[in-house]
Amino acid sequence: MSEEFPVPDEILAVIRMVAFGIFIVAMVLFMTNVYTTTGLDFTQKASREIGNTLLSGPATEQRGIFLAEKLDEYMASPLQEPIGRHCSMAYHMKIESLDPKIKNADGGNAWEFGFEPSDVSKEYSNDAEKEFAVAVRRGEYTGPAKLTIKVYRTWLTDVSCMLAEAYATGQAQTLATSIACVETQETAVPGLAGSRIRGEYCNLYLKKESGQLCYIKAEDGREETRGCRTIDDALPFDSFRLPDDFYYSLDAHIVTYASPQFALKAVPLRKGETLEADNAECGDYESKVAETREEIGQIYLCIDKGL
Amino acid sequence: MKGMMMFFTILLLVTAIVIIAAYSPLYQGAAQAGQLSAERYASEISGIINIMQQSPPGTSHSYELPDKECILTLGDRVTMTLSPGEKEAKASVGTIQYAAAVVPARFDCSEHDQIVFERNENIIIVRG
Repeated sequence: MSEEFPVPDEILAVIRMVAFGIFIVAMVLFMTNVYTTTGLDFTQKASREIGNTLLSGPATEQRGIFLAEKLDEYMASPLQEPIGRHCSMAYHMKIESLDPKIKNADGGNAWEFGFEPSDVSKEYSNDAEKEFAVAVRRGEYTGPAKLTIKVYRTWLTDVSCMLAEAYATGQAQTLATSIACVETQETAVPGLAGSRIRGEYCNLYLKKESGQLCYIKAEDGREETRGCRTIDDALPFDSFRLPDDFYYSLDAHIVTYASPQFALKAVPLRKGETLEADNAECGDYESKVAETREEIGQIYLCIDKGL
Repeated sequence: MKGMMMFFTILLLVTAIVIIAAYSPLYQGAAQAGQLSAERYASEISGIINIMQQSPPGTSHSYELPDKECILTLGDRVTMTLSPGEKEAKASVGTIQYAAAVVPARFDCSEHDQIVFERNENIIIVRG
């Protein structure tokens, strides 16, 4: 004869409460983990579209048949992206001749030009690579070749695009970004009352160099260009201004423990207006912003810590 | 009876707390969905322009605008604003600047069901 195990009401109540507690925790976890995504990869998409542009661009005779003479011209040209340009994505292209009879102007078997990201931005770049089977024609002879396109989206391409956009729209543009501290430097930066403070800093140093926006590494008075992107043709070079010493430093210790959040802004100012040249922070810029493209005097890049 | 009352009071309180706690992430999720939706439309339309750039003159393509309040601005960039106003979701995507420039245009989705892209000799015209 089996004996029934007695279950007091209190135990049942506790079990009920625990089950309810687990349900509540599960619901909270479910609710707080709701997120949406489209699954779109904009860099992949841009690489296909840029690839299509190159395949039927001015360097081709027919779709996919490149002219060696045109490619020689582009390789010698200072233009970084001579065939089409995407505002926020930059490309690098390489055509390798698979026929030993077809060579470039220097006797090599490849034509290569385009945007080269710096080692630093490479690590943080969102990039996509595509290969196409093409042909290269020199004179009457046509041979097989391989076209490789690499499309990059780095913060340098984003900034160059933001400047163009500020000029085109006459509105302040914002790039909310977190610059990873990949390049700490032992350096001196401006301190209080004109003093210089020496220490470990992360640097964001941008400069205009021969029609390009460049990321510079500055160490002990020496400057090294680490990556450049040609500025949009539509943007007259004089129309924007980076302070000569656009130099923003972040304390490396802060960066190590908490990723810095700030917004980089491109601010189109009315003619005659300026922002403090020795201060990379935007400050009170709103009252100085141009309302139309015609009113723009210069475009400033500045840091907005208001995030 | 008293125990049941207490249990239901606690249940009510905890449920209220959960609803309040979940409101913010759910609201953010909805805002993010709107933003992604705007990005998707802008990206689709910029893709059409990029492909039209390489098409022969005479090519045309029609595109159905979303069946909701939106403003589409075309030029060097494609900007889609969904639910214009205080809670708008806005996305801007660049196009490839190449042989044919897009004639700047602005469309209100409440006035147009679709737009038609037409590739002419050196320009792409978009009509409502």
